Amino acid sequence: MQLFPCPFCGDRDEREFHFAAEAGKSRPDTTGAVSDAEWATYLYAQRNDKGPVREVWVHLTCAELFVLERDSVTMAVLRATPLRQDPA
Amino acid sequence: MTGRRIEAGGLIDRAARLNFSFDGRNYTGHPGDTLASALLANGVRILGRSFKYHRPRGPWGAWFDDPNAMMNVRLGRDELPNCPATTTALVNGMSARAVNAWPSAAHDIKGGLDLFHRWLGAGFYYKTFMWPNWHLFEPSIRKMAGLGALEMSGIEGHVTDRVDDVCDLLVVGGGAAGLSAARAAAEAGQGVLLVEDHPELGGGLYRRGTPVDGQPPVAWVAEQRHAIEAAGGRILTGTTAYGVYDHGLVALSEDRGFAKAPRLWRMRVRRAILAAGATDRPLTFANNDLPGIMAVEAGLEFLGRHGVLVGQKIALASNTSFGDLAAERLEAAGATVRRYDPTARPLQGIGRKGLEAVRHGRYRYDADVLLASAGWTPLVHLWRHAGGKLRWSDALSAFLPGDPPEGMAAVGAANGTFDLDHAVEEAGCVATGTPLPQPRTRYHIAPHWPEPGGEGRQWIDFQHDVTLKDVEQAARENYTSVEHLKRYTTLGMASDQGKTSNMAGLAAMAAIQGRPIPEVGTTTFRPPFVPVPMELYHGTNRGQQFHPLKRLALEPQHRAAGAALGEYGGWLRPAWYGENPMTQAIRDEALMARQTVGVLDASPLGKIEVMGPDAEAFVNFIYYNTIRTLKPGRIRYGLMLTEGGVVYDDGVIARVAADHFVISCSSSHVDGVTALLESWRQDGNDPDRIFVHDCTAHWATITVTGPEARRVMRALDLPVQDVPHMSFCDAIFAGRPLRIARVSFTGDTSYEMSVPTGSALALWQAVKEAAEGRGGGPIGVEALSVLRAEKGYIMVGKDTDGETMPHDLGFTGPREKKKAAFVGDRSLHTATANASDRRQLVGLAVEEGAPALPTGAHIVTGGERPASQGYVTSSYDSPILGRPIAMALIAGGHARLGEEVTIWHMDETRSATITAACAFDRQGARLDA
Amino acid sequence: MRDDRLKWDAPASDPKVLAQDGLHVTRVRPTRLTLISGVQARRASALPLIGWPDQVTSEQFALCLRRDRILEVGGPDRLPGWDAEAGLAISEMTDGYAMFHLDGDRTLGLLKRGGVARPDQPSPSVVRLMFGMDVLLYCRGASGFGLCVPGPRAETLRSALRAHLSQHGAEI
Repeated sequence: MQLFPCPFCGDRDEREFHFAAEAGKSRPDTTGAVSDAEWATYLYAQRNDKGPVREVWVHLTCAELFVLERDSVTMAVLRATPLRQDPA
Repeated sequence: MTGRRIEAGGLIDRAARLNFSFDGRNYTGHPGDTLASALLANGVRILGRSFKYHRPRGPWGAWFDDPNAMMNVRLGRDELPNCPATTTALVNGMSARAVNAWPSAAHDIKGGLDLFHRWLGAGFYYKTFMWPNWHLFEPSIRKMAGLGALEMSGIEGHVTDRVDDVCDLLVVGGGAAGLSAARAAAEAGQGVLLVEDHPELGGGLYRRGTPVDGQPPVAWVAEQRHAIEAAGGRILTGTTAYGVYDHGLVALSEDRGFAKAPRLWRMRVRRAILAAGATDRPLTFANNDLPGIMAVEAGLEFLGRHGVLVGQKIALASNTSFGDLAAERLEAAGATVRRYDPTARPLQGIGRKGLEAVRHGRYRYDADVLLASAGWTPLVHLWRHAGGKLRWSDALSAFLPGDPPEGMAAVGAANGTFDLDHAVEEAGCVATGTPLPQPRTRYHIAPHWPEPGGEGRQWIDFQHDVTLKDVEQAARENYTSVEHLKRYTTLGMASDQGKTSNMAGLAAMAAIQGRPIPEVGTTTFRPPFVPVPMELYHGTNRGQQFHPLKRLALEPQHRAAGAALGEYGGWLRPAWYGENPMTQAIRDEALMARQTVGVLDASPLGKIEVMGPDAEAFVNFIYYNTIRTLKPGRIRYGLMLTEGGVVYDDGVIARVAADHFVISCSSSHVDGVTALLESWRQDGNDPDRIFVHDCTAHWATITVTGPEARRVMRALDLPVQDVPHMSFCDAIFAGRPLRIARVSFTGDTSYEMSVPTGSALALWQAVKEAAEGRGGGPIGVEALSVLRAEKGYIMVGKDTDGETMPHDLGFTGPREKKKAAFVGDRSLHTATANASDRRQLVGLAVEEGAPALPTGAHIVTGGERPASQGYVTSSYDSPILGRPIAMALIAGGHARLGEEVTIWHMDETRSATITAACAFDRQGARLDA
Repeated sequence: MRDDRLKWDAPASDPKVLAQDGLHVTRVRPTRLTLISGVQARRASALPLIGWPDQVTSEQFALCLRRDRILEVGGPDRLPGWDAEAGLAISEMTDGYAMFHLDGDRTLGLLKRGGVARPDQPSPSVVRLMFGMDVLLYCRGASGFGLCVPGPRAETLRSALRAHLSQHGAEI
């Protein structure tokens, strides 16, 4: 059972989290022309790296999405960064 | 008689006697005994039978490293299968029976199977039962196989207590090293938890019997315990650390007595010290499986812990310096001990149902017990669970802890530090972070490994009957990787999971191939370290706690009204009401709602508020339908898609104000839709300009539907004039807010009224009374399903599947015209989305007088080999139409209206005609009647 | 469809959920709950802002749920909807949560059966996963806790607490 850091709430048990997406993908602007290949890449192409990875995770209990850097081999958590600045 | 109880010594209480039976015969033992030690003390040698050949077996080990003595044990009304006799504490009144043996372990009628061993070698199943069909043989083989038998009645109150906890330092193992580490750490101010799997602390000290720091073991152990607890440390005995998981989570199983479910501790530890000790590994020689042959360490353990001398004429074959101490201890207890050097010449066990003599080279010597050791193997299982590396030590002939996993250190015998004083010193240093002394050892070993090509049958895995010849055969057949070897021969797959067999097995493979042992490597170490009951993962999550449902505020009223309750999308909801049989009740309710008025508890419907300056653009992006043009006070139906263009949910969107929307998604999707909204809000939009509140739980929703609905509303003095179809208004009911929405899932005039759940009871009673005064009443979810199907209204996930896009349902507008981006938009214009044979939603009419189609029946092409063109998604008897109705997803269905098609279900075919999905009131005249 | 009504105990209505060996669980009814979201939500309430393990000392307080969300307990009546001036989204949630008070020396032991909630591991928010569901957990005095679950989960929580106490109560 992993221990993940929510950038707001702090360390919590992995049951409170869910993987959302690989980080760094952006949605093509669909109001313009988007090729089949470009769209398919956006939908389906995953890097699935062995070693350090950057992923978007969600802390389900507080609904915060954040970037989690971790190692997919050792399961080490490297860093958690909020997607946004703290307003308060 | 071979084994006997000695006059003094051990941790048993000789003053108290415990009665028990084994295979039908009565014996006595003492508190502090295990089943195995008590039986040995009574002179019993055969405690079980092996799995495949039903060879007689006595204990090899004295603790978790024994694969041989497995028993079904009954105590009072409770019976447990597969209890290892060596770890089951003796309780007065226990009745034990050897598994896999009948009528007894001593006289097993299947013992004759051993004569056929020549034909039952490795890969026997794979080779023999291929032809003509494995399934012919399977039933009889399954009957032959297996260990203990389950008592089907279960054990009352057998419920695991599961506790989440944390500690700074976990010390695994309460022997000399573990106690020293725990004491040093606790006295240095660390929060220590020490776990020991035996009921008593002390580990291997009792079998050694030598003083520690000048004190006898019992006194030294008591002093350590006192010091640890005085310094604030915690100690759990009878507790096994059986698995290490990610980020320092260690699973502990705490024994709470026979037939009581163990307690599970999910312990999050900052740091762990592994002081788990080491075990003897078996010597591999001919007939090394005979009862009476056991580990040196086991012989000493039975002596030192249980006061049992296992034999009178003891042969001792050990290749380590520990043999000297062993011989001394056994002789002091009254046995004659003769030592054999296993490295000098081959050993052979002689005897039929137990050891009678030992052959060493050309000489034969009488012996009733042979204590054997091929060296010590450190218990590195938890180290490997945690991701630590192993290194091979030539000096110790063993795999030792190598590069450490984060937060874990190993001390004592688990670390290859086999000398007591060195282990104590090392443990103290590691616990407090002081520098370690130079490694040194007095322990000496003359390496000795299985020798391929040797004489006789030499056992590697005692329980599963894997011999050296099986390993040789596996190698000949190219199963040379240790992982393949394991699965082909089942070596290491016994209930001890290779604790006795793995080292010999991989060393044999190394010798056969002429490779060094570290190159052959080990199989993967996986939790659990010892077998744990499945109950450990079950706990109180049983019965109503297994998959708890969400409950309606009005459930007591539904129960009082005689509602049948069922699960719908995670909620417990009324399926139908009253005492009539299900079919009749549903039919009556559906007809009532069409003829007068039905009242439905629709509280699970989503009430998700989206607010903020960007709310409009956001909702417009989330939905397939255009929401931007929706005016405040109005409601619009919408589909929510995945990015793959597949319909994920349908619902209605109400616009409260320019910057305030309420999304009413389907009841089963509220959590999913909320999560999806949050995900798009924070990843792709400005989260400071959009806020999503799931307020579903705050509101109860009661729907009134039918030709009398308007009159019911008037009777309640509720405003209905200002609410045209697809709009809403806010009112006050009993001093609290009430929202009335005109949306319809039945095709009849409907009002959805939402009030805070605290006011639900008052509203429900008022509405129900008014409806009953007009010939109506409550309806359940089943009747609603019929009503909506009559109208061709979909239920997402029932009438759609993982390929259904909005145009397959006839919603083509936004796909063609919507300018703004929306979720899934691009996916609606791929070659797949444009295909002409997509499965589209249509209705099906059956032949005159025919019964309803089965849901799930396939629409098939004709010919010899019919192929599916789609399937029936919903099918009901429509009481208002007086005939069956159905919806289906059919390839190219929209262009096939009027076509007669063949329906196939369970080898029967029928015909039906494709129609529009809507079967009732196609003009929609009743919607605003 | 089958009739499962007998598979599920009827929801209990007694506010006294449990009273066993000095461990008390009681359902309480707050006067008002208001959900407030916004960039400045954590500064939007005059009530004391409660994270973990901050102590609640009166009937009026604001639980911190997220970076940008609080739940006012017993706060002022507020107009629901989008408050453009303050930049706050406001929803009434008085009936949306079931609120329980847990009191007695052994409450922490009971909570350990539901998940990890240690007073020495602070967190700005009071949301967490306990007993398999999303809860709001906060401290009330030395050995008291407040536990809120969504209304439809009230019965689940009651029966979970009961199951733990009936099976293992003596050892908690």
